[in-house]
Formats: sequence, C-alpha cells, structure tokens
Amino acid sequence: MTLNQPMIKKLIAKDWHLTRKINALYLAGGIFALSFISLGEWQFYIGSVFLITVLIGLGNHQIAITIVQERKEQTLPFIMTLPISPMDYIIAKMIANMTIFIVPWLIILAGMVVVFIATPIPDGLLPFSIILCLLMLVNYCITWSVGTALATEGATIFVMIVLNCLVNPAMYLLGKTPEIGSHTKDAYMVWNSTATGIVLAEVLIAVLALIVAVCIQARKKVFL
Amino acid sequence: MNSTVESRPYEVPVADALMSDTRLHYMDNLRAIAMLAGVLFHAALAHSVLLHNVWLPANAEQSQWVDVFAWFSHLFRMPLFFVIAGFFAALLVQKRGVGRMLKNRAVRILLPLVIFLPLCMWAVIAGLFDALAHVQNKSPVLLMIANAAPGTPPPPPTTLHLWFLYNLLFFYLITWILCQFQWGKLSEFFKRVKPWQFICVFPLIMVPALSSVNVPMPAPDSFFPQLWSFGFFGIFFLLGYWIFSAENFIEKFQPYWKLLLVLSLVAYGIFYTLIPKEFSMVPAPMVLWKKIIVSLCEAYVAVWMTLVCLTLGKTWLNSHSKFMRLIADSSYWIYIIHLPLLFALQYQLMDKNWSLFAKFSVASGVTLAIGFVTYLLLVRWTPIGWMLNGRRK
Repeated sequence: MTLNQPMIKKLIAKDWHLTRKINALYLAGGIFALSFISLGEWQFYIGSVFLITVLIGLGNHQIAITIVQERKEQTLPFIMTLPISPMDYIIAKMIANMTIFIVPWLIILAGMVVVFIATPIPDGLLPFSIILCLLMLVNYCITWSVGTALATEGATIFVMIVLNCLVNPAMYLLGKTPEIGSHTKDAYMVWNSTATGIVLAEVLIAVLALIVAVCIQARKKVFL
Repeated sequence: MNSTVESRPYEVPVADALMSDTRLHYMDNLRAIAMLAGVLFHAALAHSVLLHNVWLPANAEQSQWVDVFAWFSHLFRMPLFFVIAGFFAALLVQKRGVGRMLKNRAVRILLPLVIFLPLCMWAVIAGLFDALAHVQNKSPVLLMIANAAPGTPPPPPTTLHLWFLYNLLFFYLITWILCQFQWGKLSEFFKRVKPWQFICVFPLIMVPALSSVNVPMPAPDSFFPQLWSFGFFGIFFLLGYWIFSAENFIEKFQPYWKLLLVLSLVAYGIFYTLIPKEFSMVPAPMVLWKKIIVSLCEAYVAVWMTLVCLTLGKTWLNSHSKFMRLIADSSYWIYIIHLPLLFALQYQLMDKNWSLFAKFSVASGVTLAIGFVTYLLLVRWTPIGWMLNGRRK
C-alpha cells in the first residue's frame, strides 16, 4: 500500500491550523501552571494539578475538534473528495494529533524529571510520577483510538470521562502497591520489576490502542 | 540579533521602514550598551555593600557609591533590553511571519542558551572550586561554602546570567500565542493614550509583579518560569512589540525626557532610602507600606528611564558608525561569556591590596578586552558568529 504523502502533509497542516487557537490557549495555561509551581509549597501542588489538567484538556479538546467535529460538522464529505484513502486519513490524523499532544507531554515529563533530580523533592517519587505521566499518555491514546474507530461524540466523551475517573483510583492503587508506594519518600529512585513492568505495560497498551485504530481504519475501503 | 531596518526620520512610522532592507542603528546601539552595561554592573557587585554577604566574589573593598550607581542602572537596563527584544520580535513577525520568527529565535536564542549555559555553568563552578582552594581573603559566601558540612544539598540549578535568554524563549512563545488572536481594539485604545497618561499609569501595571519579589528585583534565573518576570519584563517586551507598530511613539516623549530623568532620580532616591542596607541569604520581610512604595519607585524608574534611554538613543545613537556596529555585533558574545571570566578575575583580585577603583577597572576592563578579542578571533567570521548575529554579508 502506498501512502499519498503530499496529501498527508496537507491534512496534518490543516489539523494544526484548525487547532492553533486552542493549542495557544493550552500552551498559555501550561506556562502559567509552570510559573505558579515555583511560588511556594501549596502553589506547587495547585500548579502541578493545573498542569496535568491542561494536558488532559489539551488531549480531549483536540480529539473533539479534529475527529468528532469533523463528522459532526459535515467536513468529512469534503475530505472524501480529496485523493486520499482511509489509511492516508488515519495516518494524517495520528501524526497531527500525536505531535500536538506528545510534544508538550514530553516537555512536562522532562521538566518533571529535572525538577525531581535538581530539587530536594525525594527522587523516590520519580517512578510513581513517571507511571502517572504515562497513564495520561495511555488515556489519550485510548480516547484517540475510540474517537477514530467509532467517530461518535457520545462514545468518545464516555471514554474520556471513564478514563479520567480512573486516574485517581490508579494513583491510590499505585500508592498502596508496596513495591512503588513504599519508596516514594526515599532519597533515591528504585526501579524494581513491578515499576518497570507497569511502565512496559503502559507503553504496550498505548501502542496497541494506536495499532488497533489504524488496523480498523485500514480495513475500510471507503470512508463511510 | 540584528536589525535590518534603516534609521528613518521621526515622522515615519517604524513599521514603514520595513520596506527598506537596512538597519535601525539606535536600537542596535542601545541594545549593545544595555548588554555591556551588564558587564560593568556585575563587575560592580563585587564591591557592593548591599550584596557583600550574598555575592560570590564579594571583595573587601566596598563603597556605598557603587550601590548608588549600580542599582540605579539595574532598575532600567534589562527593561530597556526587553523593550528592544520585543521591538525586534515585532519586526521579524511583520517581515517573515510568526512561524519564521520562532525559527529565527530558535537559532539566535535557544541554540546559544543550550550550548553556552552548560559551558558557563562548568566555568563558574570550576572557578568557584579554584577560589575555595587558593583565595586567602574569602568572601562571606565563599567562607560559607568552604565551611559547609559534607552532604549539604547543592543550591538548585540556575540559568545564571543567561536567564534573559531563557525568559525570552517564553516571551516568544507568548508572542506566538497572542498572534493567534485579534487585538485590533486594544491596539486602537493604546494608540489614543496620551504621553502623560502613559507616563503616569503604565508603570502601575508592573507593581503587583514587583511587590511579589524581594528588593531590588532579583534575576528570574530559575528553570521554572517566574510569574513575576512575565508581569514585569514580559510587559516591557510587549511594550517594545507595540512600539514597533505605533506611530512616532518614541518621538512623543522627546519633550519630556529631562523631566522624566529628574523624576526618576527622585524616585530612585526614595527607593534607595527605603531598601535594606545589607542583604542576607534569607531576605528579611519588608513592612507592607514600604514594600508598596519601593515597588512603585522601581516600576516608575524602570519605565521612565527606559523612555529616557529610547528618546536619547534615537537622538544621539541613530547613525551609522563602523565602531558602534562592531561593538553592537560583539556585545552579545561578550555578555554570554563575561560572568565566568569576571568571577575568575575577581577571585584573583581578592588577595590583592589594590584600591576599589583599580580592582573594578582591571576586572571589567580585562573581561571586556578578552570578550572583544575572542569575538574578533573566534566568533565574528565563524559559525558561532553566524549563530549569534546571522551570516555576514
């Protein structure tokens, strides 16, 4: 199967262009959250929560705009007139959405690692935090897959809500897992088999979610 | 960091000058002066009474006069720099678009920061260890480090004197964010503001930010973006951005520069009287009314003196001079490398029995000379020069 690369590039640029305003607002929110974090102890917690909220909001908002609304506002028929296959379409969507989400996600992850290593915050909290950050990525990938595979507003919003509701229980369970929770106050991070296993499982689930969505789309001969 | 727009008569809006592919000399020259003044400021801090307990190469020879001059320049030097940075950001956006502006800034600002910050950090730390081993008359901070118990956690990493590059990156991102929205009505509102209204009201915008930090304002050199920096330096950056498209903005303040200079000196006098006469590692909290007055003075001096510098710069520095061009081109490089050099020199001077003036002159003079010579030999015609100032035509 050959991909129509020039059209894929144009579709990616189109999605970036259409989401530029919300991306700008979420970027502003992210910068504000980062600035707030440095103001003090309670500001650190509020800023961290705000930063995570910005990340979740960015992911969900762009899925709603680039995937759900494309069908709802009847812009998909226009896409169908272009010389592209369903595979080209899904690849363009995946690259456009993933870059918008993964770039800020990676910046936050890298910033978090630097903060943990460079400040008196115990490094033992790092595996717990990395697992949580990866959970955000997993949630995003699953929501994206459901959005592209089902392309219905209701189902996508339902999945968003369920996955976001699972973040707190996941934090609770992680904290209660002795191999992870017992090391959160240690001066050095402990990467034991449990922590590594969870990270690998998260990466696997994220990749799997994307593959499933691409496979479902690839099997289609026509868009509808 | 080069402008490419020619100096124009006062009647012509700056943005119109874009049509010609030449330079705005006064902006280039002002920026160079702001940067080189930074070298002298850092050199002077070694002899500051106020900073004696907190400055690494604090010298035994101190003077109140050093503080009087140094802190006055401190209040408007970087604000002026950020106005100029905002001005050139607007120029780039007008000329090439916001995307290309970001690409250009990535090469001129991000790349030098990524390359030179680790090198400067290494050089400052190496100089510090050498001073701990060899200097006899150690400064209070050096003594504190020398006597620190083993296992004492190191201070959090900082962006050193390159904090302005780090902050600029955020300001450019905010420029991109703001460019996504329409600001026509706000821009029209600002265009109707009269000079005296601007002089009286504009500085008040910065008071909340200044009230939230110690006095005199510290450098926002943390890797975490500092909220107050957006509310102070960010506002100056936006002012510069707006000056670019405003018609005859700088000329409107021409009749007021003497008045603004006098008022600034009065405000600085109040500021200097109220600030603590000695700083410690943990600054003592200030009484609320004092804090508000000091912040007001800081804000007004910063805005008024920036306007004074812009009007004087446009009057006296707006012509082509090969010498000034060379200084302008070399200033960015000199500023980047100056701090480790200066510290290393000042550590050596700590044990010398020289006068304050001699030590200050040698430290700042040798630093500037090394910076200038290395610029000519290693930077001007090399990829480092292309990165900092663009390719030479």
